[in-house]
Amino acid sequence: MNVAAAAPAAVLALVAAAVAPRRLTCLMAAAAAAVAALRPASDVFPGALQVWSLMAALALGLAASALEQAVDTFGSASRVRVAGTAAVAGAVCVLTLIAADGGRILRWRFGLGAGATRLELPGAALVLGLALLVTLAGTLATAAHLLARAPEGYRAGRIGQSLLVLGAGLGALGVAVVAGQGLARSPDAMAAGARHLAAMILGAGVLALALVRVLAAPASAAVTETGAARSQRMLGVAAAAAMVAVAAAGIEGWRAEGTYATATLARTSSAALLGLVAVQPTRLALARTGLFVLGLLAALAAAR
Amino acid sequence: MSLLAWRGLTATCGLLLAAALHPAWPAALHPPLVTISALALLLVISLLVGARDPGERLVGAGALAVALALGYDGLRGHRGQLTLEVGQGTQSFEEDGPEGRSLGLRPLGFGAFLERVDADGGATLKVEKGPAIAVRPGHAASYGGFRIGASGRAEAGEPAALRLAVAGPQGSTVVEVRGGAPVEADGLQIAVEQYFPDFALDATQQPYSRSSEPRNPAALLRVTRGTQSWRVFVIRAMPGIHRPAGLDRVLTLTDVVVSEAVRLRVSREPAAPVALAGVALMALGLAWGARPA
Repeated sequence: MNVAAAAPAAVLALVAAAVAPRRLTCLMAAAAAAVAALRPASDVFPGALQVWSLMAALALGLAASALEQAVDTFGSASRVRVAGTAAVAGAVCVLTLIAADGGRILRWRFGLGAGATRLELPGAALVLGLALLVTLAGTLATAAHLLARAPEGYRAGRIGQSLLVLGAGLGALGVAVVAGQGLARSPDAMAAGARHLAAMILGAGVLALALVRVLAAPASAAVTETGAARSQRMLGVAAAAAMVAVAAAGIEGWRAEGTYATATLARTSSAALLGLVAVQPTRLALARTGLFVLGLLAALAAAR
Repeated sequence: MSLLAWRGLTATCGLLLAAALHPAWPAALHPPLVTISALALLLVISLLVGARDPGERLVGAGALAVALALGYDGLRGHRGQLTLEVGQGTQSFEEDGPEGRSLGLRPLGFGAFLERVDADGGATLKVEKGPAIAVRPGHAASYGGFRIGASGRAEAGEPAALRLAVAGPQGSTVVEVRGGAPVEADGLQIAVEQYFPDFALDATQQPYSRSSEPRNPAALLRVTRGTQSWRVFVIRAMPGIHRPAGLDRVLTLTDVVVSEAVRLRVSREPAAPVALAGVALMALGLAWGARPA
């Protein structure tokens, strides 16, 4: 078993189930579980369990929960903000689809792995390419509707919302096609492309979560205040956990490589600094929390 | 003072520092060390000046400790690489500067030679009149104030031996000639005079090596028999190309036996415990700030 990938997935699942049960945390746990299930154990360190990755996963789970709480609090004030969240989620989904497989989707190509083990999936490329175009159109229409400050129910907003729903559906279908064809035709290529698949699960999932919020009723003001305080506290704990992950990465680097100046420590420190930035009581709180989540995701994705 | 205590400045400095520290950037886009140091200094000052409760003061104190420790290790610590072949000894290592530039050789303070390379990439160093230091992947070792970790296998710059075929009237024999040590084959003394791992001719038709990789190996050999002596040029790509007058044997370079080497990472970071304590303080401070009011 790939312990190095399974342990952070287990921590994320624990956070999602018991510590901070939120939809975004569940989605991240699912993506991490997909990576752990598809990637084989490392040949170099078959049983290596890294403490820093466990702490980073804990921080990621808490930060994702705090982010969702903050988005709920922020967006509950008006439907305009909810639509704005959907537009941002659409942009995230578009960027994820472009980044997966090194941007080949822009040339209507998609495959898993590289070199001799690469598996081309033309059918999945068609579905994912359509998902990309539809989501992009939906994002632009929703953003245009928001920027124009048009009244609710205006055509651009409705079309944008419909396109985003279609994009999320096509994205989910594309992920299913990639997983089905990849597993059936080449498990090696599937293992090599596990991170890309997990990224697409996250991208499509974030869009789906945002669309669910569009359809939900706004919360009351009292709930909003409680949610903001709770989100801030959770963010503080996540930042502290990220800092512990830095300490663990330093100790593990010193033990394994003889120095704390490793690439893992640099990535973890970068994420922990974003955590420190996220807890500062100043403007753009949501964007800073989002960056913290992205930093932790990048640190964990780059792990062996 | 109020500007330094402004949280927007703290957030901006932290954000820029996080971006500057991330290793994903290509080398050309890495900001200079002085920029990173200035950002770190500004962040520490703003954290200390803007602290309003014990938790924030702990974060500021921890950040100061980390900055001081990293600065001290940058100035007084040493980091570098050591590439050794089996049996090769050294008393120094190639030191790297904070931005990855080579600073030249730095003495280790002791002499050691590579005793063995293991199949898993580990290695055993034997210290002169001292113990053996076993370095394994994932497990660095300490000696003489340095941490020594396995960094990977490497091909040595010089080949362990050249494999030559000597063809004569009585048949053909294969010998391995090692640098500096002549061997005897079929009544001939053969020694390597010059070796070109990636042979090429320059504009003035002078031989040189395009790289240290054995892509097009060739060698100039000194061959002697009694009082007679010849210089024979051999190249693997063109067997038997050079047949000097008076030599009734054909020498052919058939293969290059590449010597196995191991690359070790050598580090001395005296302020590492202070940096660790600083990070622990920061974590404690952040957790303190997350307590319910």
